[in-house]
Amino acid sequence: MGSGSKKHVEYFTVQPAGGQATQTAAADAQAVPAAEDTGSDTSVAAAAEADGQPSGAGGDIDTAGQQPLQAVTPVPDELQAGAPTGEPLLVGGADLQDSMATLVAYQHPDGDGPVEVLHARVEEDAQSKLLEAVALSDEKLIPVAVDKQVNGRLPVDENRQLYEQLETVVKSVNYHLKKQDGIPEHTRENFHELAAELEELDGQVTDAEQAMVEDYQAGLEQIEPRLDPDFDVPYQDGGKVGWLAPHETTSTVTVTEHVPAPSEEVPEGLLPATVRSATRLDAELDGNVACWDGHKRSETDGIEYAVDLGGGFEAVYRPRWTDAIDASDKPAAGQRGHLEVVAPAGGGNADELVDRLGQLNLVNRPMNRSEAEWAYLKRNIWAQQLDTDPQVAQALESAKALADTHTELVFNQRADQATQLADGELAGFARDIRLEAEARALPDQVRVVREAAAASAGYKNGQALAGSAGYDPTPRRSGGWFVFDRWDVAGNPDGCTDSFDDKVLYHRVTGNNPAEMINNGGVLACTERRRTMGTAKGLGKSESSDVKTGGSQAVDLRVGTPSSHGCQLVWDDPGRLLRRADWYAYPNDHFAAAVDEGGHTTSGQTRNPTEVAGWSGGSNEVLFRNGIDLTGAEAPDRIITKGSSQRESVLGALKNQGVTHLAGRPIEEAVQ
Amino acid sequence: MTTPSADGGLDEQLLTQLLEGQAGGAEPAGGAVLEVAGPDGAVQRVWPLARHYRLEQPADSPPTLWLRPIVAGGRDAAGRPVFSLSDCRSRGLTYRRAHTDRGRLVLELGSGQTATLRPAGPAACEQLAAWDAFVLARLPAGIEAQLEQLADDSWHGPFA
Repeated sequence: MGSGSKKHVEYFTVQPAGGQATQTAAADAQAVPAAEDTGSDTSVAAAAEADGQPSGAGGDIDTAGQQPLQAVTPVPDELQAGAPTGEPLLVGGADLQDSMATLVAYQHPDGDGPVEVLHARVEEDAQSKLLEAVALSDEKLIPVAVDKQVNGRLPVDENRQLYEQLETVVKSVNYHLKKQDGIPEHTRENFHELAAELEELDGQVTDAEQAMVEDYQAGLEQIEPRLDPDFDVPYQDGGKVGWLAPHETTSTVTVTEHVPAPSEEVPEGLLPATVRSATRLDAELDGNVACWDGHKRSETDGIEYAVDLGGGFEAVYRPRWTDAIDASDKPAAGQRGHLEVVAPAGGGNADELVDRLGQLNLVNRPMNRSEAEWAYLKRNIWAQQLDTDPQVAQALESAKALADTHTELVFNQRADQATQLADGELAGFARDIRLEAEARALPDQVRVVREAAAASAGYKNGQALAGSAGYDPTPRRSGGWFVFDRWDVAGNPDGCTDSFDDKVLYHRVTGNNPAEMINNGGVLACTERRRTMGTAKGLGKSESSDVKTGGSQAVDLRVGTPSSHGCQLVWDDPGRLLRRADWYAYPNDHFAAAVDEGGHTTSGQTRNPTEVAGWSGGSNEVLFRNGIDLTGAEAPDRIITKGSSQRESVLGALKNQGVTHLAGRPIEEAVQ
Repeated sequence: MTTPSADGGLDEQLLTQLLEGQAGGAEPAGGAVLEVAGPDGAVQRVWPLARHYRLEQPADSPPTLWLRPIVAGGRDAAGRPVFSLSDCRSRGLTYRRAHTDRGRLVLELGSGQTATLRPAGPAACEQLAAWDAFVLARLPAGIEAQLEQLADDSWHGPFA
């Protein structure tokens, strides 16, 4: 597929990855055009108004599949290379968490053209479909000898532990300078012992080693004046010994690397996939540009599946927990369900990245409006905790059964086709039937669940709910993601804000952090997002408690009166954020736990804004999924800085991004 | 022996001793770990603690002890310790009562959990030594000072 725009009309069609669109609408569906430019207006609300229905009303649903269904977010024509937040996209069906994927074009560090990646999180219910598409085998590695450029310390340095000696002296000198209790005698002795050892080597070694000796001697020269009892430069103002890095050289060596062996025979119709230790895509931020070479990865907890999609495309999936996975192999909760589809280097792959989801048995086209309403309903049921109502729980079960019913119907309609297929084609045929059935079931599922949710929330019926002030299934773009509103707060945001009295939502940051955030996408993003953006690194295999509990998928704000401590982002109008349908909260620091594991409990979690409004101070947490857009509709009312230089740096960063107002106020007023 | 303070308050002298370990001596060494147990008493997690704290005692709500649990970092290409300051961000323990127990500091949290600060064992001491090397030999003084404020709900910029 090419890179052309997909601003097209969507029908209930399933598009096999890499092939022609298959007409899979109802049996009596007419031939339909494959694409039609609908112009720039692609919102759900606009589409609803265009056909005379209130946004989200049931009348916009075409159960026969004959009316055009507009894509809510078309696949972008091209991706801006290096943009840290990437481009969010709502994908059809209910296979992805919040039906959302993010397309990121990483700048290749060597200038080889961007590396485009689709990031998404696969819903628990959709994992089985994905696993049916792949033939898993344990990764077998074979040794190969390769010439490699390596950076490293010289053997004489490592053998004599010269750098370690230097680091010990630095550590001690800084410790005592800070305490202002004088440099102890043993530190002076260590200093002189190292100086003597370097003196002994000086002039007696190879050129490369001589460079190291001089490097470390220069370090000692920096330290020496600090040994003087009269040294009086304050620790914070240049007194501290700066970072003295180990001396490293670059050389070409032949090393043995282990690379994956060619895949063994894979059953026809399945994709070859290997099970390997889980990794993280190791992006870097160069200035404000997100960079990745398509290969560099770091290790993390658990296992993942590397799926060869062909044509240079690869999918990497970190499975959600199943009985088939040993406890020790479980990926950290924050990473479970995470899917990356990676294109070969070069731009223009946005369309194909979405298309390739079909190979994994996942819906592979942009979301249409009735699907947006399904996502909206599910998110609201979660946010308002309506699923504790038996009638809503029953409706959700019925919705699942509807998909099975439609599968039977579609299979009966197409059973004759199955007899004409070769064995290897049957898996694809079954996949198409299931995707088609899911698409055809969706309008009925929406209707059933909307009725139940309406009754649970006190509305006369689904129609009354759909016509109410707060009901709007139009997703809003916020930073690099989409958010849905919850109808109970969106219908009365002032009421929500009033319940907080003079309390606010705030997030504390330090140093140059606000300017960093504004420069790097203008978002307060969660840990998982920041890792894909290259603005935060995970180190080693031991994940933070946030990642272990799933809290790394959210950012945390606190409710109360802003403390007098340091720099803060402040939302004076909590209703502006709490109208989102993706937040949850705890009265105490639960390390952002989203799942009941990792040493934290989810007990005490609430999504009730009135309850949150009653909290004051302490370590309470209000968690927002993905993050918060700091320069758009969700911008803080105030950024409280610590001093004029920090204020100037924040104002400068905002001006560089073309931001003149925050939450309707000129930035000169909002940045304090 | 359990020693409740008269007002259920926190023994800051013991807290300081625990966090500093043998740091009162010639070089930083030892230190403390934070152990969180559920209402059933089962220990849920253990973290080594950076050597600073901040106590918030507002008049109208329970006190909060701010600490910095250290999440195991990694090694850079040259083999030197490096940590993610995003992972090691400050955390708050809002507590109802505090008492001491055989040289340990025990906080009864509002969540029904119990937080215990106790001397670090060998593995935690190893992590603390790596953290000290990272903070004292590698971080600029400005970042070190920011960490000590314990006022970061998230960390952005160098070592994020």
